[in-house]
Amino acid sequence: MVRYLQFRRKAAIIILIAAFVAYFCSEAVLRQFVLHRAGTQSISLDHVLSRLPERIRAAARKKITIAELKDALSSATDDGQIINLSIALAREYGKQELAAKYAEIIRKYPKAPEALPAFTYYLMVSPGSPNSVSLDRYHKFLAILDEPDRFFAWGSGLTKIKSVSENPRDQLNYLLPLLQQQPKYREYQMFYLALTELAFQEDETDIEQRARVLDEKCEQLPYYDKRNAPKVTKPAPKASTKAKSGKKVDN
Amino acid sequence: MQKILAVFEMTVKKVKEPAFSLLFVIAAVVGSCVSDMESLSFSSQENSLLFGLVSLEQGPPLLAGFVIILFMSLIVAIFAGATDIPKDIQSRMIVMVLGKPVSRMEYLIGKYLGIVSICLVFFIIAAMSAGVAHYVKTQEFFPLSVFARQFFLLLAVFPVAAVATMISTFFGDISAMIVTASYLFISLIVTAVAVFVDMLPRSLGLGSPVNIIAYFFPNFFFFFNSFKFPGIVLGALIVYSLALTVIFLIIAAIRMQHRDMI
Repeated sequence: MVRYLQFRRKAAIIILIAAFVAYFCSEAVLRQFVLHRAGTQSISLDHVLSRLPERIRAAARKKITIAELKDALSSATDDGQIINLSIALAREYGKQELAAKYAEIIRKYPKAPEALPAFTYYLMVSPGSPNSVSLDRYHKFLAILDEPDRFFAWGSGLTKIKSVSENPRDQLNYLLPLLQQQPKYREYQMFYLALTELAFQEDETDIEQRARVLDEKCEQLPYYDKRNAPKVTKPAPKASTKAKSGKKVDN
Repeated sequence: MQKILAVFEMTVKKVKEPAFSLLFVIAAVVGSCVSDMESLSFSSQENSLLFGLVSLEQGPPLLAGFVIILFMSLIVAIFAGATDIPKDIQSRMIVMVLGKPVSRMEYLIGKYLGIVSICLVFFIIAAMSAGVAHYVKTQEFFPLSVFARQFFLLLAVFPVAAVATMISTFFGDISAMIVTASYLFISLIVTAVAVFVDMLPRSLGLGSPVNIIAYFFPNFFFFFNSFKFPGIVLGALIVYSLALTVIFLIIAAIRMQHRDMI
């Protein structure tokens, strides 16, 4: 009788364990079927979030965005992906975190094209500090970029310098290396124009002449990206000039 | 086995009562009323939550009428499952049965099989009635695969009857009904939340705690998924239904072994 009871107890335990194993396995299969059904998005997060009270909606959305970025970052293998995702993640946390992340990126990935926002951020910021990026260093970084990234990097660098320094000499020094290279695309005309104006202001006749030559050369070049065409048109000179008809244009 | 069948017969004999006869008439009427209902569908815009929880994209469609029949069968399962054992205890019938060479386990299995059979008969009567009414109205039978898919809904009846039976070993009849209905309702909410949380990024760290809680509740949304058959989903669904049933019945058996029957 005792043996019979022991056997029954053992049998019940075995059946229970088997039932639990079957339960967990089948549940996993069915859950995956619901979650990853082909070609359809399951529950829309936006739809669920839109039902939340406004006070917590923004916080919930931010938390989800941060978590999504963290997930993507943990599975990223490519340096470029890691840089882009870590910048996006730091941006969600705030300005201080973003600045710290930019400094870290400059340290860890000095030769990655994706580190451009970091180099631009620290360009000529608090010279002398370890994080500051000098013009020379920025120019070296520009050399590793391909078009059209290099063109945009020249542009974002110029904007940054204008924001940190009102001295035209700094802007002139920044654009000077462009005189050493032959323009390949018409988009560069805007930089040569700026260089011409800055050189005129600083009374650098030689630089002005050389910039003017390259500016005219740009006129003959094709656009790298046709969509830039309307944006990079030669502006009318500020001084009073003669119109094609020969009459003076009123400003 | 004979002892189990004896208890089973004792449970099923209730069908002869006028109340149950009326129930089957209602099943037939309901079946004929819902015979021309369209197939179940949720749009991603209007019912986005249900759309996310139930996959209806592949395989034979699920007919809305049969879903209603299933819900009625589940109500019967809850009602019969939650009241049968407490009533036997109240009326001392259980003492008489267990006084014979019938073990508590055999009594429990017999009762469970009897309750499930009543639900199956209810569903089958309603389904047949729906099939006949559909033929009368359209001069066409339901396609066999579509009709077969509706019968796989019955897989939901087994765990629900087991839950009701298990809870009835802990509570009185009315309490057991309320607790069973509450448990099933909470199951729907918890499992829906669990599926939703699964879609959130893992870094939120919500997945594990919610999933652990969800394991204590059966996910009935699975039974409404459309799937191709034969296939792994159908196999998983059958295993899921049986595993849940066995787990609940073992808990009920443990309780039966230790509870006072007076």
